[in-house]
Order: sequence, then structure tokens, then C-alpha cells
Amino acid sequence: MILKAENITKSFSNGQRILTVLRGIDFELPEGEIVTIMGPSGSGKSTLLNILGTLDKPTAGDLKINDLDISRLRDRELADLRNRTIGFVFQFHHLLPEFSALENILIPSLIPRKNSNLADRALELLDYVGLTEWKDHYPSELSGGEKLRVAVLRSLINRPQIVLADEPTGNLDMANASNLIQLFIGINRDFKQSLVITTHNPEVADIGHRQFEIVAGKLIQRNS
Amino acid sequence: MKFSLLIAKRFMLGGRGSGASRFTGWIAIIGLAVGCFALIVSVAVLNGFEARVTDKVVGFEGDLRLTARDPAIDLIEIAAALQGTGLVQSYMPFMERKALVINDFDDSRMVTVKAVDFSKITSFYKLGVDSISNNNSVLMGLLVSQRMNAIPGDRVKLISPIDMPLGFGLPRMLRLPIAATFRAEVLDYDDRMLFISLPAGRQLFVRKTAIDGIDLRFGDQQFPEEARTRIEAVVPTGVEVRSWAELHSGLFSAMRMEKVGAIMVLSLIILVASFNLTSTLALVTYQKVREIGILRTMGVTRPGIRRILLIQGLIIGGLGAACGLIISSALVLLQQKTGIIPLPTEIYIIDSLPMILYLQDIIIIPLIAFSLIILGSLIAGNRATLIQPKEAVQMEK
Ligand SMILES: Nc1ncnc2c1ncn2[C@@H]1O[C@H](COP(=O)(O)OP(=O)(O)OP(=O)(O)O)[C@@H](O)[C@H]1O
Ligand SMILES: [Mg+2]
Repeated sequence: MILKAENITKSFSNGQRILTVLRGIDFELPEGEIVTIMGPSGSGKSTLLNILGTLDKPTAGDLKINDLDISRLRDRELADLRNRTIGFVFQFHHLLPEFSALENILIPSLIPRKNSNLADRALELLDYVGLTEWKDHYPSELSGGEKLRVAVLRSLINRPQIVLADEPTGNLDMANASNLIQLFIGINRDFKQSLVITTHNPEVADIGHRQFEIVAGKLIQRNS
Repeated sequence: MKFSLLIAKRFMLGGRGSGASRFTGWIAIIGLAVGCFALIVSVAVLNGFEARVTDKVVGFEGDLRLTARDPAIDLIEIAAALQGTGLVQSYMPFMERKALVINDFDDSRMVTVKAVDFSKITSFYKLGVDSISNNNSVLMGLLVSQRMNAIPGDRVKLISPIDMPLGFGLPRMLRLPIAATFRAEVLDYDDRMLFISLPAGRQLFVRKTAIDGIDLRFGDQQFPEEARTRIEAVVPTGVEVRSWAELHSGLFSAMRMEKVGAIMVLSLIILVASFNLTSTLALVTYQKVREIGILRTMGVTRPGIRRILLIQGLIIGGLGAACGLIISSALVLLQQKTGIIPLPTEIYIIDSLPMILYLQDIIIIPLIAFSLIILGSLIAGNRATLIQPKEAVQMEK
């Protein structure tokens, strides 16, 4: 099991009121699986994904990644874990505008002190999604769909065990969305990539080996 | 480090599509340049004037002064021995005492009379007087002579009130012609000093049994501090060695304080400019919240974010400081070579603004500038580490 979450609870306090978004979620992610999570706006999808991605801490509950207790890690170890084990894709591509497509893909590989040159891998990935010709384009010179595909490649460059995608198609038209869906299916099939994807889009939800919905702070499986 | 530098360069002044931080960035650069320029130039000018004063004082008194606590010590023998070893180029024994100078109209003035070896006087002291032929004469400060209404050739009376010989009721008096007048151009020497020859001094200061001290002049190749320690090592106990700085400690420390004060006050310009740098970097941070957040999700640590801003601050601040330091140093060099900045000679005696930079200034001033630049950048860098990645990544494009 790459990732194991037990009894995750998350509350926010806005002044007087305490809002409990997640109420005791148990979740496991085996290698090579696509998990999709649906749920109405405000149900806590992003909150859960942030916790799974170590960007946020649960109010209660345990999270283990590769049997490592996340709550025990220090800032620098967490950063290292995120760099090597987790890839993020967001609704807004969040590419760095000052870097070309190729450079953007390479950025995670440059962060560790001892980094290896992954330029060849980045080019292969660009080729994989058919964006080789766009490698030197800056984000402002790419379409929304292209930007998102580059962002997905960026999340893959360090061969992370987990890719977390928060509403990746939320900002795309139908054609680009299905393009991205095909990409997710492809990387899962070709690279045995584990994926956790939150979405409002039923088509995206359908690609999950397991498909969940957050209802009243609980994670409920929709398929079997 | 390489990575931080890469990001810092690309995010420079807000990276693509920036405007505001580019503007404040230039203001910070100009501020730092002005601060460093002002600091270098003022310190150079203060150094220049200090060197002039030192030069004049040393010219008038010699590099070191030996005095004996015990009159039995033969200072002349010690000085001759020092000259023999080459530590000292020349020496001048002297007697010194307050005396009254009186002209033909019975105007009188209290002055300091220094009795020295007249055969060496014009070569040992820089008085602007070529030579003195008459051993039995007075060399008079220009202002004293003006106040006494006396010109070279006139005779004046010298009376030493302390030196009353036993039995007689009247103090010693000499009547001597004025051989020449001198201009020391420093302190109030011109207004209160007279030189007479040692034999005349012995006649006037009958109560003195020995010379008061010896002025020493180093050889040209000597480092003053080194020569001084070596001299101190060889002179017998009971002989005091003092430099001009110790003899005029008030003047010396005033000049030091002036310099310290100038550095502190002008450093405030750099401090304010560093705060400009802080706000520029804060603006960059604000423009780059999303990117900083995304970098954090990709595994950049908080110190890593701080480092990116620090590097950017050092590049921007370094540019400003370097401009200021280079332009001002070039100006100092130019002034030293050509003297293009003039001074009104009637007031300052010298015709161009003296400017000198010492190694210590060239080290200390950039050190001050870069400390403040680092301080300013770290303040901004620390703020940037507070960015929460989970909030930053929710921000819309
Ligand atoms: N930092 C916070 N402080 C207070 N409340 C928060 C905070 N973050 C999230 N919430 C609340 O938690 C709830 C879940 O938010 P979350 O962003 O996880 O929803 P979501 O399922 O991702 O919604 P969407 O589909 O619109 O993205 C919302 O009601 C939100 O207002
Ligand atoms: Mg969300």
C-alpha cells in the first residue's frame, strides 16, 4: 500500500463556528490504481486531497505514506517526500510563466540538492503527449488544454508513486477534458501510475477503478 | 543553490508581466547607489582632511616625541643611538616654555617659546622657511608677528617669568631680531609659537637643567606603527614615547568621532534603501504567491523560498551598491589624479578637495551595505515562507 489514511477528520473554525468537513475518513491507495472522488462543491474534496498530499494537516487521524507516519516528519523531510513521492495537478495549471514548457516539466527534478539530468525523460514525456513541437513555448503561448497536459507531465517527471489531481478538467472544454482523461488512462496503463482525481465531471469519475463520493464528510464508494 | 539562483533570476522583479515591483526595484537600486556613493565620498573627504592635518602636525612636530621622566637620562645619546640603527632619520632636541614677547611699543603677548637646534630647524620642521642665517634670532609665527606689529628684522624682547635667577628680582630677558615668520597652517601654532636657538634657550630658561624632549623623524621606508614599537623596545625605562595622536588626543579623537558619526548617519540612507528593497521583494512575493505556493508543493522548503528572495535581494541590492561603490571610488581616484574638484584657497590653504580611501574603508563600507541588504532581503524572505501552499494553489489564474 503506497498510502494509507485512517480516521481522517478535519475541522475549520471560523470565529465561533466550528465546521467539520471530513468526519473519519479511511482510505488506502494501492499501486497502479486510479481513484476518483466526486462530491458537491464545498464537500471537502480539495481538503482531503491537500491532506493526502501533506499540504494540510488533519485535525485527527493518521496518514502513512510508504509506511512512514507523516505527522512525525519535519518540514524538510515533508518537502523531500512531496518532491519524490507525490505529483500534483491543479485545476489552474500553475505553470511558471517565466519558464518554457520543457523547463516547467523539469522544475521538480531540479529541486533536490543532488539532482539528475532528466531532460531526455522530459522530452520523451512531451513526445508521449504529442507536444514536442511546443517544448520551447512559454505557458502564455499554449492553449488551456496544452497547459494542463504540460502540468501533468511536470507532476510525472520525478516518477512519483502518487499523482493527486484536484479537478483537473474543471477549467477545460469537453474536447480538452476528454483528451486529458485519455492522458490519465494512458499514464496509468503505460507507467502503472497511481492517481487520485477529484472531479465534478462524471466522465472523469468513470475512469476510476474505485469511485468515491464525499457525503457528509464520509467517503462512500460508488462502484464495487 | 543553483536552483534558487535560477528561480530568483526568472522571478526577478516579479518576472513576466510585472510593473510595480520593477518600479520600486529601481528606486531601491538608486537609493542603495546614492547611499554607498555618499558614504564613500564623505569618508574619503574626511580621510583627506585628516591626512592633511596629520601631515601638518607631523611636519611641525615630528613623528614621535621622546621625553624623560628623570632629568639625568641623556635623551640626546638615546636619539643618536636610534639614528645610528637607522630606525630614526633625524632628531631634534628642544626646550619649551611659556614666555612673554614684547615689541618696541610695549605690546606684549604670551607665547610658547621652543628652543631648538637652529642649524637643523628648517630641514627638520616643515615651516615654509628656507634657512636661517642668524643663530641669535627669533622665528615667529605669522599671526604672532601680525599681532605684535613686527616684521622680520624688527627686534622683540622675550621674558620668561618663571626663570628668575636667584638674588635678582627681575626675570630673564632676551632681545632678539626676528629672522623670519612661519606658517604651520594647523591648530593655533601660527598664533602662539616662537622658535629660538638652543643656546638662546639656555640663556632664557635658566632654571631648566636639561632639554625637555626630543622630536624624532622616521625614515621614509618606515611604517609608523612598526617603527614606533621597535623604538619603544629599545629605549630605556623612564623614557616616554608619544606620537602626535597621543600628544593631541583631543584633535585625534574628534577626527575619529567625526568619521564614525558620518558613517553611522550615512548608513541610514542605505538602511532606508534596504527597506525599499524589502518592500520591492514583498511586492514580488505578492505577485508570485501562486508560483511560490506551487514550488512548495513540488518540494521546495521554507528555507528554499527564503533563499530565492535573498538571492534576488542580493542581485538587486548588489547592483545598486556596486554602482554606488564603483562610481564613488572612480571619483576618488579621478580627484586624486587630477584634482578636478577645487577648493577656495583663501579658506582651505589647499587648492583641491583631498580624498583618500583606505583599505579598511573599502572593506567596512561594502560590509555595511551588504549586511543591510541581507537584512532587508531576509525580512521579505521570511514573509514569503508564510505562504500556505494549499491556499496558493486554490488561487485562480
Ligand atoms: N482554510 C479554511 N478555513 C475555513 N474553512 C475552510 C478552509 N478551507 C476550506 N474550508 C471549507 O471547507 C469546506 C470544503 O472545502 P473544499 O475546498 O475542500 O471543498 P471542495 O469539495 O473542494 O469544493 P469545490 O468542488 O468547490 O472545489 C468548504 O465549506 C470550505 O468553505
Ligand atoms: Mg476543490
